[in-house]
Order: sequence, then structure tokens, then C-alpha cells
Amino acid sequence: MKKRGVSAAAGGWLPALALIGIMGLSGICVAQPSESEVLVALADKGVAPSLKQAATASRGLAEAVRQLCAQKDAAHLERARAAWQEAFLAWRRAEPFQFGIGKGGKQDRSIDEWPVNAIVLDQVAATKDFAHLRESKDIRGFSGAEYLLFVPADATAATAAERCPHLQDIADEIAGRNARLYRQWQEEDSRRFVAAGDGEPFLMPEDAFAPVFARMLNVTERLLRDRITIPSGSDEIAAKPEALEAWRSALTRDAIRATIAGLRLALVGDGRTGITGLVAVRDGLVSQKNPQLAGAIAHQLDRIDKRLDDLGGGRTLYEALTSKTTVLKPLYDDIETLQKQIVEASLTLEVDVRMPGEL
Amino acid sequence: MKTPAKPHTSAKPHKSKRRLPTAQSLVRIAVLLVLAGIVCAGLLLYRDEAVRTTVQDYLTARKIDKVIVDYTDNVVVRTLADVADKIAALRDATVRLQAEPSEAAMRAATDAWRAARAQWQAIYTFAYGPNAFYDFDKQIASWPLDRPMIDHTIAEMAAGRLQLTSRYLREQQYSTLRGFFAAEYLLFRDGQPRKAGDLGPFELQYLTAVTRAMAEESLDFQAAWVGTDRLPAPAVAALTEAGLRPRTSYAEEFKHPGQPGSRYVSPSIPLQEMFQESHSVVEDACAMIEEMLASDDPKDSESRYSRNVSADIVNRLKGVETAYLGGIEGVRRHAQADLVANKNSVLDRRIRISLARAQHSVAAVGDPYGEHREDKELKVRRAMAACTKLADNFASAIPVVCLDPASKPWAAYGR
Repeated sequence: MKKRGVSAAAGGWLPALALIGIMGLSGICVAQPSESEVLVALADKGVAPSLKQAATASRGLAEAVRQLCAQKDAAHLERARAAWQEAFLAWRRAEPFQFGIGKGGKQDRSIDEWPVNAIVLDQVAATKDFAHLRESKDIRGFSGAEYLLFVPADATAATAAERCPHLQDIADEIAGRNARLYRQWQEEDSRRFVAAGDGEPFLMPEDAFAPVFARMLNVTERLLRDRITIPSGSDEIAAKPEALEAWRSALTRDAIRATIAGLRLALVGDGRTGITGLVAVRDGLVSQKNPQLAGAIAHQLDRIDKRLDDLGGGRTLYEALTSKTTVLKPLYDDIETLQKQIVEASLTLEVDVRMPGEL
Repeated sequence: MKTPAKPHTSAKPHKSKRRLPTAQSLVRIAVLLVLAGIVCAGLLLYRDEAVRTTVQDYLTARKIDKVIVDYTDNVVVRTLADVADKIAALRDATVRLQAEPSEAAMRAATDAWRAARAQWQAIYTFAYGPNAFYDFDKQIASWPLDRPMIDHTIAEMAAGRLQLTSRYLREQQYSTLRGFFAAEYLLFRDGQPRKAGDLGPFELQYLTAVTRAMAEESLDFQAAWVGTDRLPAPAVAALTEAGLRPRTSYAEEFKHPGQPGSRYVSPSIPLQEMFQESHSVVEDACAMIEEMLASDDPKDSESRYSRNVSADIVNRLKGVETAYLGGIEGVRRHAQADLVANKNSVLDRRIRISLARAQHSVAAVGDPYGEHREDKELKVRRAMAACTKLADNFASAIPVVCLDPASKPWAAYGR
């Protein structure tokens, strides 16, 4: 065996192989996601699973309510309560993805209005005489179902008088709404979304990000204005802890956390093919890529999660807010920062989106 | 060895004498106290919203004044100077073409036409004032062209029945016989320069008369804004020779609203004109883009011979951008953009982005006429969408800036 010949041959090939390896790795490292890739990832890993989960969970709620009204016992009341929590959290996680491109959906009545009008709801639940008030939106939706499930002390109270018909009606409406949202996405919107750039209706791939950003800004604005400011009060209005969403089920903190989780999925995704991945690498006509912003968004989401963990010192947010009206101020500041970062991301990607006040 | 005696000292230690403050140090302390008092009072006053608003209004008013002055000098006056230069270059190129009709001279003339046309588009952002009073756009860029009458005039010249001069064109003929589109008709066919040999001597003569008239009118346009007495001597001499009367300076009225001699009662009025005119230009550009979809026939285009419509639209939008940013790069100072950013920095950035995207998407259309293209409709629709977004963003900026309390009164009429 001619060792010298073999080693000479290997010495000749090895540098070439190393060079090829480095070039290959470099290609992998700098591979930039395209707008279309990000849209596909958003559709497949964000929108579809979130809407599907919300549809499934709300179907579970409707079924659990049916069982409760049939059996009228403590176990089924607990199951119905758990099903409500699961459905509500799934709805909140899906919030950033409810940007419906097609014409449907907007005619649906809102199912996440709050606070509930307890006085009217008590009367509607007590007697058929007030059945004509059942359609009023301040006694329906998730908040109406929460009141009917969590306020009564036991299953007998929860299923007394007219509570079951109204509760079933609400649960069916919630399930129907979520099912329609998911179906509309699957049958119409997803195709339009991932095919953005063909002019049906999105003329450019980046145009499809406009409703996504608009929805995210709407969601953050709702967090700031409706979910934090109104319950906390301000110089002009008194604090109203009862205006906290889902306080009766002690789910306020988890609900905010679910919304943040949805925003994280929409913004960060798997990192590379998330919106922030695009922000980090894409130069526009005027704007330049901003990897610092991409990192800052991910960091801010972590910060908000940590803030939610620490808020209230072990108490529910309702209890914490009742004893100190400024307890949510740090959370407000954190979410406001995130909102500004989302605006900055839209400018970096040169997506023309209306501001929260314009939506 | 004897130890030397210690010097005599008194029994008690010597107390250092306490020094009284001098008059100078007292004055210094007093001044510092007064200054500190003024600063504290200022801070306390500034906490009061009414005072803060007054201060902000004052600062905003000063900024508006600077924007109006710099816009006039760096956008309007500079653009008109560039227009005059480009049209003069076009005139010179056609004179050389007439003297020696070669293909090279023809290419130089057509290039000069396109350059002058590009610069001309910027004047639409200040279509008010002298342009509105004296119809300079109609004189220099009248459309549609009266082609049969041009052909007839050239025939009359060839028959010896007409001696054509630029002054004759300006004073005796309709504007549809001269200007950019008359020069275009003589220089281009199917988007390309004509063959130099295809132009007869009287066509060349007509062409030079047209471009001389354009040069004279562009100087007149410049004089109407700047004032004839502030133009360079050669320009004044050219205007005098052309029989054009002296003009007073419109720029001085525009730059000093609310002052004696200005027809503008307050800074809000020039601001309104600046922003609304830019918005109108964008809206017109959107309509021009939409027209591209209507037909594949170049004859339906405004610039049917040079097929310059996409470039015209891009340059018109570029003119809006130049106006918004306060001039061309390198000479910008205070700009409309500053006023918008002062109120809403996100809106300012959106306008800058949509200005760039609108120009980019129109340029991507290319020549929309001629052979039917599969991708034409999608590209034109993209350009329309980008243009519409730009118009929307400008429309949002108008009330934000023009109705700033610092620029009151807002009404153009009545004192």
C-alpha cells in the first residue's frame, strides 16, 4: 500500500471538501425566509391549529353543557366549568388569528363582550317572562356562560329555572361561531392567504400581512383599553375590578397569558419562518432589516409572561386589583411596549396597516 | 553644640481671621439665586398645560415658518431653475440637430426631451400661484396636441407663406401647437427616436421654434415665482428679448403669510396649498395608472409617440417625494415631513414608504402599450394599489398638519 500516495490524495481532496462544507453551512445559516414561506408557516402552524383548537374546545363546551343540563349533578357541573375554561382559553389564544379575509364572519354577533349584565341575566335565567331579553349581547357569549356556570354554588342552582335553555343556547352559539371561523379559513381564506401575490385578493405577498398586523394591533389595544385600563380606572374614571374579564372563574390572568401565547405564535412562530424572522433579515425599499427589533419582540413577550407570573403575589388579579388599583400598571406598560414594537415591525416590513384608532 | 533657640511665639495659638464675603461674591450668589428662581418658576409654569401648549404652539409656528421658506427656496425655486436648465438643454440639442441632422444628434435631442420631461413633472406639486394665474402648464405642456394644425403650419412654412419664430408661436398660436408634446411629435415614433433623415428642414425649423418658445416660457415661469429682478442678467436679457414683461416675486408673498403685501392671511394657507396640491398630484397619478388598463393601443396614451407614460407617472410621484422631503438630497432643510413627523412619526414613515413603493411599482409596469402582456394587469393593479395607499396616507396628513392651532387662522378668505 502506498501510504504516501493515499495521504497525498487525501490531502488534495480534504481542503476541497472542507470548503464545500463551509459553503454549504453558510448557505444554511444565511438562508432567508421569503414572504411566502412566512405566510405558509403562519397559516399552517398558527392560524389553522389555533382556530381548530378553538372550534374543538367550544364544541366540547356545548357538549358538556348538554350533559350538565341532562344530569344536573356536581361532577357534570365541574366538567362544564372545565370545558368553559378550556374553550375560553382556546378562544383567547386564537384571537390574533381571527383576521378573516373573506366576507363571512363579520355578520356574526360578538361572543366575547363583557362585563355581563348580572341583573338582567338573573331575571332571564329565573323566568320565561324575560325570554325576549335572551338575545341581548350583554348576557350572552363567554361572559354570560361564565356567569351561569361559576356563580351558582351547586349543580341544582346552576340548572334551575330557565338557566339551562339560555346556557345551551349560548354554548351552541359559541360552538357555531368557532366552527364557522375554522371552516371559513379552511375553505376560503387559507388559499387566498398563502397565494398572496396573485391578486386574489392580495396583489403582493406582503399585503397579506396587513390584516395580520391589523388584528395584532387590535388585540393589543383591546388588552390595554378594555382589559386593563377600564378595570383599573384612571384620573377620569373610577376603578372597577368587576370589569375584569373572566374574574368570576379566576381565569383573568390565564386568559391574558393565552392571548400573549397567541401573539407569540403569530409574531415569532418557529423563529426563522415567523414574522420576526422576516423582520430580522428583510430589507425593504426604505426600511432596513432589524434583527435587534426581532430579538426585542421575543424578549418582550417573555417579559410579559414573567410579569403575569409575578403579578398579585399569589392572589387572583381580581383580588389584587381590589386592594391596589395600580397593580396592573406594569403589565400595561409592558403590553404598550409590545404594541409599539409591532408597529415598528410593520414599518420594517413596509406593511401598510391602519393604527388601532383607525381600525 | 548648642541647640539654636526657637523663635519666640506667643503663649496662645494664633486664631486665623474669619474673612467677610466680598461684594463680588455676594453679587455672584445673588445672580445664581435669581437664575435658580427663574428655572424653578419656568419648570413649575411648564407643568401647567396651558403654558406648555402656548410654548409648543410657538415652537410649532416657528417650525412652520421655516418649512414654508425652505419649501419655496429648495423645492419651488430650485425646481424651476432645473426645469429652465433642462429645457434650455433641449433647445440647444434641437438647434444642433437642425444644424447637423445626424443620428447622434437625434439621440441627444430625444434624451434631452426625456430629461426635460422628467424634470417638468415636479412642477405639478406647486400648480397653484403663478401656474394657476398664467397657465404655464398649458403653455409648455398642453395636451392634446393639434397635430393637423402643426402639419399645416409646417406646410405653410415650406410654401414660403410663413416665417415661424418662437414669439409667433407664443403670441399668435394656440398652445396646442407647441410645448412638450409638439416636440415629442417631431422627435419620436413608436417610443423610439425618429431617423434624423426623416425630418425635413421645415420640421426642424418648427422644432427649434417650439423649444425656443418652451425655453422662454420656462424662464417666465421662473420669473413669476422669483421676480424678474432677482434672475441672473442673461435670463433677464432673454426675457426682455422675448418680449416678456417683468414679474414680481410670488415667492415673497408665499414665504411671508400674514404680513403686508402677502395674499396669504396665515401660515395655514400655504400649508394647505402645499399638502393638498401634493395630494391632488397623487390622485391624478392614480388615475393615469388606471388608464393603462383601459387600452393596449399607444394612441390612447398621453405620450403616444415617446411612450413615456410610466416615466411621467414615476417622475410626477418623485416630484411629490421631493416636495415632501424638502428638496433633492443634499439640499434639504426643513420639510413637510418634519411637520408630519412632529405630530405622528409613524404616519411620516408610512408616507415615505408609500412614496417609494408607488414609484417602484409604477416603474415595474414598464411600457404598458404595444403588445399585449400577460402580466400587465397584475402589475398595473399593484401600481394602482400602491398609489391609492399613498393618496390615503397624504389625506391623513392634511388635517394633522394644516389644522394645527399654531397655524391659525385656517380660512383662506376674510380677515
